[in-house]
Amino acid sequence: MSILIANRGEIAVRVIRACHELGLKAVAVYSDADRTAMHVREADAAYPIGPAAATESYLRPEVLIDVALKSNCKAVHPGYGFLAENAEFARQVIEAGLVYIGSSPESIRLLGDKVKSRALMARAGVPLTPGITSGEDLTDERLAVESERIGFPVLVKAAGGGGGKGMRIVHHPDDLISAIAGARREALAAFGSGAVYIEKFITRPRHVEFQVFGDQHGHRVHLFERECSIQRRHQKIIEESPSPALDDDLRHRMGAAAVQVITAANYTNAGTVEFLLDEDRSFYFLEVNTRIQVEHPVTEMVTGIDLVAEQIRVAFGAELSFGQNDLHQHGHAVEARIYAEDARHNFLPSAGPVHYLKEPRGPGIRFDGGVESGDEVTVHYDPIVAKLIAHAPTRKTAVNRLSFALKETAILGLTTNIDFLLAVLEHPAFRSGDLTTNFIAEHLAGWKPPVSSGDERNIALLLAGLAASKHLPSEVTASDSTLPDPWAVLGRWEIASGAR
Amino acid sequence: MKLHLSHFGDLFEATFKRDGERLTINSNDKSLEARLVLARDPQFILDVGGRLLTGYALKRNGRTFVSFEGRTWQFDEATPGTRSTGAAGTGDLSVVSPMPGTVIKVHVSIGDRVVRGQSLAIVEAMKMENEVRSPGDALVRNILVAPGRQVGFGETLLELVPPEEAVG
Repeated sequence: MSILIANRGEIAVRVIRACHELGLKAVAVYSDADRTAMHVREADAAYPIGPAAATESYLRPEVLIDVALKSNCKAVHPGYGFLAENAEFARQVIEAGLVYIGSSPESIRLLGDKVKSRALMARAGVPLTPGITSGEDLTDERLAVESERIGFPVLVKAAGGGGGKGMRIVHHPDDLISAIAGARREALAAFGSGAVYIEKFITRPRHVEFQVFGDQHGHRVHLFERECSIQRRHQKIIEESPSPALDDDLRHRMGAAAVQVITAANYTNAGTVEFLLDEDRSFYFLEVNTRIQVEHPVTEMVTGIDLVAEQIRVAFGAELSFGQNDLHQHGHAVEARIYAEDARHNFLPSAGPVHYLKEPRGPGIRFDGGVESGDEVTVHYDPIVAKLIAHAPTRKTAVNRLSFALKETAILGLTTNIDFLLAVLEHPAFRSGDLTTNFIAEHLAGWKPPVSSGDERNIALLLAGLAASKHLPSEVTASDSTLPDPWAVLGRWEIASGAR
Repeated sequence: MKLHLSHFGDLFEATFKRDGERLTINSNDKSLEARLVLARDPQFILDVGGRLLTGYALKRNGRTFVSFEGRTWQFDEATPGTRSTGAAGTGDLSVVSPMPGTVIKVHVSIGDRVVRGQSLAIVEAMKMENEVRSPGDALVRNILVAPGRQVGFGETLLELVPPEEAVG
């Protein structure tokens, strides 16, 4: 049996792996820019779906469904991003006689509308931040009136999506109208709808979310929390589980609220209930992400559950393979997202070739990548290169492991945020678990890479010299002959020496 | 071998010597010696005063990429004796795109007076809007792009002149 992966990059590779482990075949799709991409190489079959621009390829439901039918797929996995939270896509998939690996179109539509889902949660008794919780009327005038009512600062948010796209913080009434216009433009480009709403802006919150799962037989559980407070441009870059802020009591109450949320929405399959956790330990429902999350690996590491495999099983009607009492948190996991971006220049995306990629190794290290040496990160899609996850018995060891693994990672050809991720992980406030979504603004605003010591700079120049001299024909032969025999540098060795 | 390299605008001049496995680099009167333990392109293992160090380096299209211990360098070839990167000649200023993307809005017209920090245009890439701001008080002399136009990294969007040049 085959599954169509309606996505690209690292998440497509991740889903392909889960398919293979379940004994299923994975069918990939690719735009003109992705003809030889890693997700295509890992798949059992692959089909072209159009030009590089996502709107002409990965965002075309009819083309994706057509490929699924022609290639005899039985189901479609949407990954995250693109059409992953598009109820209409889910509906069309099901209408074509295929299994959609996600929740029902009705629940995706309901939870995808951030305003309607807030209204539902208010009725279900889930705590909410003050803001617009009802109504279809989302005109500039209504937003202005509501902003005055709840008081500035307010957050302008896209009604149709998440991930920080189409979001603006407004401190002064004078800036509201232009912020709404910008948010509408961004929301329209990202989600196909310019609808935005407002809510009260909590000044120093933590972002704590709960992984949830439901099946078609009425079972619903949570798989504990992930703390994702470290964000730049409202996008997460470091996530961990457990959260340093929760104790058993708060974890229990938030987990119960998360299950209450998906019960109210009649949600099935994997989802994430996002909360803001205030300094006084009050928590507020933010939204539900109706898909697998980028940061799902940290939950997989601490619970030992393969979330993607479970998504596929549950979509085909299986009962959840675990109950709430079977689930426990083992140790601590931290994920860092390696992006092609320039932390020196306001985290601007940087596209380019990956001439060389060296993955880190070691106990408790997981590297979920979407590119390998020789691939390219293009301007057309999200600039994520890989997710690096470290798991260890304690938070301290997990953070140390992640730090060493980042130092061992080498990516030549692109500007990446690795040095910035290291600056976060090594910051005393991060080490002590003192996190808020303002962490970067409070501790690392205007960050520049540390000034190289003379030796460090000279080592870099020396390596540059080695790379340059390699291309001089006269030196290649001369120097290669004087290189040490690789066996010689190992020192004394014996084959199969010693006792067993 | 003489190296003339720039790293994000900082200029480095250095002399690199390689005699078998013995390597020497000399820059700004500081020198460093190392032994090349292993060269397995693009991985190099160096012995720097008894400390073993793994680094990575390769050169493509005139640009040298270096990485070790989580730090990366991008070296471009620089012409000896010149200060690298620089827009201005006689006070003209090119405002360039900070990234590859699509121009979605141009806020100004030719002849407009603009002030430092004023938003001139919006370039979008990967669904993120980025404001392109004026580097100083100036007058818009020319606009080279229109909304919808795809631009590359460093491509000129507008040309500015200092406000005093505009008089007359």
